Amino acid sequence: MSLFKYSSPTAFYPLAGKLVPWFAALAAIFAVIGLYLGLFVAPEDFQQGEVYRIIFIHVPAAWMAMVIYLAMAMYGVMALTFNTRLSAMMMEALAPTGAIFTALALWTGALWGKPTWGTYWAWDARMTSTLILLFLYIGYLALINAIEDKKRADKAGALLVIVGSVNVPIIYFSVKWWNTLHQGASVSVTASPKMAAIMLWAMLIMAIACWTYAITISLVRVRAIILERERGRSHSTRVANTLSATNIVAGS
Amino acid sequence: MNWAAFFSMDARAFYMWGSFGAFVVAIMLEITLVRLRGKRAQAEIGEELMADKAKRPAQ
Repeated sequence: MSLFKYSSPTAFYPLAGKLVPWFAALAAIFAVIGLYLGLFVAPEDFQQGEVYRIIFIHVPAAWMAMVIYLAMAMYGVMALTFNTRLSAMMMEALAPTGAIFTALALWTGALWGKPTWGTYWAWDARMTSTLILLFLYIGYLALINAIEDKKRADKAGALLVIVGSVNVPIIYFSVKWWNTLHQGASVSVTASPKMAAIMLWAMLIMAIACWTYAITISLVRVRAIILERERGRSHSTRVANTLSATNIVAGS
Repeated sequence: MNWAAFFSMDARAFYMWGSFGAFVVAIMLEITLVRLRGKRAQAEIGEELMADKAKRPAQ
C-alpha cells in the first residue's frame, strides 16, 4: 500500500474521518492538563502578577498562526508542483483556523499589553507583521472565494500564500532585527528558557493542545470541502466513490 | 482555594478573562460552524446522489 494513495481526496476522506476522534481526544486532554497547570499550579509572576497567565494562550496562538501559514505554503508548493487537488483543499481547510489563531494572538496580546506596557497596541515590528499575517489569511480566503473556477482559485491562492510566507520569518526575527516594544523570545532552542519550569511546561502543553486542535478542525473542514467540491459531478464515478467510501447514504 | 481571589486575578480580571473568554468563544464558534458546514455538505451530496439514482431507468 502506498501513502501516495491518500493524495486522492476520495481516499483521504475516510482516513481523515478515522483520525478526527483521536486528535480531538488528544486536544481535549492536553487542553485540560495545560489549563490546570497554567491557572492553578504555576505560581504568580513576581513582576506581572496574575495577568502573565495570558501567556498560556497568547504564545501558543502566535506559534500556531505562523506554523499554520507555513503548512499552507508547503501545501501551496505541492499544489503548484504536483497539481494535487488535496493540497489545495488542505490550504483552504487550514486558512480559517490560522486566521482565528492570528486574531486571537493579536487580541490576547492587546489585553496583555495594556496592564504591562500601558497600551493595547503599538506599531512595532512584531505586532505590525502579525497584523499583516492576519491580512494575508483574510486575503487568501477572499481570493479563493472570489474566483469561480476552482482550479484557477487554487493556483492563485497557492501563489499568494507562497509569496506571503516571507512574512513569517519577519514576524519571528522582528524582535531581534528591530528595537520593539514586544519582548524577545521566551523559548529558544539555543538558549535556556527564561521562565520557571512549570510555566514552560504549561505553555508547551497548551501549544500541543492547539496543534492537535488545529489538526482536528482542519481534518473535519477538509472532509466538508471534499464533499462540496464533489458536488455537481453526479455522473462521474467520483461522487459514487466518495459516498460508498463514507457510507453517507447509509447515514454514517 | 479562594475562588473570589482566583476570579479577580489581582484586579486584572478584565484582561485575563477577556483573553481566555475570547479564546473559548472563538474555538466553540469554529467547531460549530465547521460541523454545520460538514452536515450541509453531506446532506447536499446525499440529495444529489438520490436524485441521480431516481433519474436512472429501473433495471
